[in-house]
Amino acid sequence: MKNVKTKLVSLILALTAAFTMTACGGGGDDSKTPGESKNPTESTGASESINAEKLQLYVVNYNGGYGSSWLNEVKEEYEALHKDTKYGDKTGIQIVVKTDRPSMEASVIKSGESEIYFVEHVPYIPFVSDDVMADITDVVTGVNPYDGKTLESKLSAQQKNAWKTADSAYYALPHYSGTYGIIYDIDLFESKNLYFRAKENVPANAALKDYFIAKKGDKKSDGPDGKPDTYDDGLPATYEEFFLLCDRMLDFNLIPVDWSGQYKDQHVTSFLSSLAADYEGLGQALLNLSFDGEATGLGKIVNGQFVKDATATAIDGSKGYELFRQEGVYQSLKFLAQLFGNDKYYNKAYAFSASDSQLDAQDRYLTSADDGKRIAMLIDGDWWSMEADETIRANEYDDRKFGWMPLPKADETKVKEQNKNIIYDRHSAMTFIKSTIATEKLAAAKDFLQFVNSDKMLVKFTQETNAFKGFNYTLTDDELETLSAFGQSLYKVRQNSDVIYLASANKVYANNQSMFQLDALYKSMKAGTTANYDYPLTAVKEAIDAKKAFSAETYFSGVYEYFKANWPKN
Amino acid sequence: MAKNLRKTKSKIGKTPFTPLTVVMLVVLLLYTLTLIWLLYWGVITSLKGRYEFIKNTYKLPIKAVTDNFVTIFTKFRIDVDGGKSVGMAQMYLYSVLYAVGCSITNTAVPCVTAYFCAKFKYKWSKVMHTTVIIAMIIPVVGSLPSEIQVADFFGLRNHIWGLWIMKANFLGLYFLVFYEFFASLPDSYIEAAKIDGAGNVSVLVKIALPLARSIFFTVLLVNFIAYWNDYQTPLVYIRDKYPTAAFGVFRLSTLTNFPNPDNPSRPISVTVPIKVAGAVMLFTPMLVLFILTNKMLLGNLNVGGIKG
Amino acid sequence: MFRQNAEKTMRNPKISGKPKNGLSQGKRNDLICYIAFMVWPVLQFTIFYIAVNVNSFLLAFQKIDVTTKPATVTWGLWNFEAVFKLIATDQMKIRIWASVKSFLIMHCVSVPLGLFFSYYIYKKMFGAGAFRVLLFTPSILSAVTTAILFFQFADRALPKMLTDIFKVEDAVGLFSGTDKGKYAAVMFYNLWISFGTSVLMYSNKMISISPEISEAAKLDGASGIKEFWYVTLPLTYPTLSVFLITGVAAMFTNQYNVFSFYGWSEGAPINVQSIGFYLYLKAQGATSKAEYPELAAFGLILTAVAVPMTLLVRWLLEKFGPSED
Repeated sequence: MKNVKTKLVSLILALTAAFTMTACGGGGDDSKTPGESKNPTESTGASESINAEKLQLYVVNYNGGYGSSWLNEVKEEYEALHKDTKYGDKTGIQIVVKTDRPSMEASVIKSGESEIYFVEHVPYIPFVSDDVMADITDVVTGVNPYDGKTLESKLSAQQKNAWKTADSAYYALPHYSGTYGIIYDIDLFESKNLYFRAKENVPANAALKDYFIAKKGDKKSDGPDGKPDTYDDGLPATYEEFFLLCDRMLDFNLIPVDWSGQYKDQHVTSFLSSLAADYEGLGQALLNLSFDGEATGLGKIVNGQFVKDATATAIDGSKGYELFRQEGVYQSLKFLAQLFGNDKYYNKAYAFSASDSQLDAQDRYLTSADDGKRIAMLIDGDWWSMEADETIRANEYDDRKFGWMPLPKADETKVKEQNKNIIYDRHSAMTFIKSTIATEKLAAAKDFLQFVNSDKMLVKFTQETNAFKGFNYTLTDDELETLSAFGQSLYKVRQNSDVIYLASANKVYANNQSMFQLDALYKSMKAGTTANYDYPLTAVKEAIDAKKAFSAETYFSGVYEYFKANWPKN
Repeated sequence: MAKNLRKTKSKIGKTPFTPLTVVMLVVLLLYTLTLIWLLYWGVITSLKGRYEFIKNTYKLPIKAVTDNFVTIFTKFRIDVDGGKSVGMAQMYLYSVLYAVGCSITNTAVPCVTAYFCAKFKYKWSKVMHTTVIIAMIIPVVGSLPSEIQVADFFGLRNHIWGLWIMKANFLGLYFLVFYEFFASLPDSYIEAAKIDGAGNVSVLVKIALPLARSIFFTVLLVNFIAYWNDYQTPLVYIRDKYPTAAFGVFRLSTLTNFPNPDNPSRPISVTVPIKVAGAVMLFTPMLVLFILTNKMLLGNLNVGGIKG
Repeated sequence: MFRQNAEKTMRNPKISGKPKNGLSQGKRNDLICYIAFMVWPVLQFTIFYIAVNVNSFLLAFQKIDVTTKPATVTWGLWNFEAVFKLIATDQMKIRIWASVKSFLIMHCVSVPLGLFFSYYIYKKMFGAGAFRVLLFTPSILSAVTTAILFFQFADRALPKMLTDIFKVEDAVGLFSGTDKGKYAAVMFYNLWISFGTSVLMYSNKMISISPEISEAAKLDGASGIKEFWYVTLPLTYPTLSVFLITGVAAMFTNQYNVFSFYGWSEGAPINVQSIGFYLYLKAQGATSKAEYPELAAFGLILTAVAVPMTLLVRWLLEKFGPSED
């Protein structure tokens, strides 16, 4: 006993002493750390001493897929720009960056140190209600001194509708924007001629290979935008073409589509939501957020067939569930059924694997070029290349080209009437100033927001991340050249897209927002029960295990039933 | 006397093997095998590089590397208030401070309260006893916002000592353990002391607590381990100032990458071997502590002698 | 309010002292001392439990609208209506059944095994000391740690091992197969980590049984199972009953570590979702406080079921259980 005690006491003492020494040695001065950066303060994750002569703005940045390096650039430039600016008795400004996934608890934000937030999943309306964010109407509507435009002019109508409160005030600005979709391997598409041939050159009674170009330089089809000589030429325009493409890939012994088994529900369900919204078009898709207007594309399954309603249905908060029988929802499920109709279309080994993270899927996708069966397309977020960066470098894949595939349309008619894409933003990422910021700092914080969102800095964000902020802004050709092939491709798709943000001031929506997350829109009642599927892939897996086909019709009817039965009574 | 008897018994009176014992032995051996295998797997995985692990998920690493540990220890930092950031070494220090303080308060308060409830047969004591049980049953939902407000009201958030106070409650299983112990303690011990003129406090300090010494230290250690491993409380209350190692490892497990302090534009991916290395770093100190103290933690609870 | 143990003090004149104002000096000192030592726990409890949780109670009767500033609160019983409707769905029945089934499996497997293991250790059979240490080991590892290790091993490495070593074709990870397989994996893990504290407490209680009793039983011809059943078990009973009583309580709060495996999404198959997990997930996933009230009402209903059930079990165990002496 005594022996044990002595051992224990000495162990604790030794550990404490060791920790104290290492801790005190390690916490303060990081400039001794050997490394490439000359200025130790420019990296987040290292300590930065507070300069009492200057005014400090405390900024917190969620370090998700988009990293922090963009903010370091902004910080450096802004501090240099204002090194002589007077702030009361202080001269110059210091942006103190904290990289973190901060708590979204109202009282924590209000009493915390951080003053400016760059974070995801901001519950905008509830935060307005709880007075978490400072009123920044003047930042949004006033002329930005850094580019001479108003920020409001860079917002879409939906953003303005959702974020301008009843008393015409704004409390936050968009941050980055992104969604799940299809990444394709441009090198592979080029080497295997996986582009569709121009319609006029496809012979009658064409064999599968005749639908595709035979060699580089052959005229490609118009693509989903229905216009020749654009960024999407040769890419599948319709669902039918998409699966022809998959079949063609099988000829080359490729795996057409892959995704992370662990995140199958998030990635694939969110992708379906985008397909559905894309089918509906902006006007009808926005009804899913505003619950206010006339729904024209509703229908139901009659004798195993989708039958469109003869008349439009008026939608309000109490009848929002009607929207879950939009034809787009049905079409997206048809797409899903077809994807799983052939188990060679996807990667059977990982499609349902619970431990298969997105990093695993990205690694697999990238390294399949050298090793094993090559994978042609990956369903992931459009920020994937930042997550895959380490593998790209380790394998010297920097020169490989990837692209973001515009969504294929349900059929030829849709290609004609719907030449713009819909992008369904999944992040709800926003920037705001906390309401409890010291009054003397508010002006400086607002100025910083204007700087961050000035045209130049928006472009800088995109150059740093190959991703986009939730504003309308354009890049010059020279600027575009600085992006990766993937970034350029994503830019072109986005330029031809309307972005929908998960935000609405509607009462039903705002009070039950978790019900309307991007991956939550496909809950479906199991036929003949009061149980439901949370995700379509659950039903797909069930069908596969039972050696049956997944029925888009049954699932579609169940989606409506689910939302009807569970519609909130606000 | 009792000790001698046991010693003799254990020497000569080993229970003979019966079918039941054999089955139990087999089950226990299987259990041991899975446990050791899992820990072993954790250690070898933590020594693999990212790309080796993809191909080799369970065999010994072809090339064992310590990079994962080095990376976590030197590059993984958590930003805190005041423009500072905290590395793994400092997180360990905060873990020690958090776990030592909370385990002391969360052992002492139930122990002393249980003593008074067990030995002072007021109606109130029963109320306390029932309260403990009821508190264990009620599923509490949505109390976090008000918990934070209360902590802020008393200025407890962002202080490690604030958590010591918040954890100084009498609720939980160990109250029942102490209660059970003190209730089974014959009153005659206390009465004898009181006859000798001892007051209530000195009975507590000089008689009751020393008798409960072994349980107390066992509970203290178990609590220490639990607080060492707890990441949720630090996440809510002290992460902006004092992130603990458990919180750090949890945060690591939720990240896809973290900033590389040497090169901000080249973040470090959080791969499975890195996550596992984090787990190994978190449990190794506890494993060492456990190996050193398992006799005290598990044994020395021989309260039978007191009953006489 | 306070009923004093008159009998005890009466017997002992030294403690009772001289009567003053109806209370003896000794009784008075006891009471003052008792109150002094109750102040902290009661105060702490009042602030950090009651004050904090009263909000959860009140929430159950509220409807919150966050589209106004500040949020508008209306009072009523809608949340209870909604929860009763929810409980009636097949979905929720599966979850309730999952909670009950898991509870029964844990108790029917873990408790007897724990007792057997403790007996094995108590009897110092082959390797007892080592097993005792090993059984406790999962308890010293954090839940995050063991869950990461178990999940990654069982889902990633194990299928490859099965394929390489046992030539099993198409082996899938334990968490990636059929829903039944997933449930089995979750329950295996929970059983696997469950022995620590209970075996520690049981075996310590057994060790505290005075050797004379065991010797006497042996002389009476009881050994092995008989001794376990007639001597060891009744004497371990007080400890066991503590675990049984608190175990009932956990029926609706236990999450069975499902969150550690399946994380934020509702990707966990419904048959492994206990009610505890469901409530946790919903509370964590809530976008605003407007989404708490229904969960709070659910919690309150579960409490209303669990409290009398626990008290009943406690009463049954006290009434029909063997007594220690």
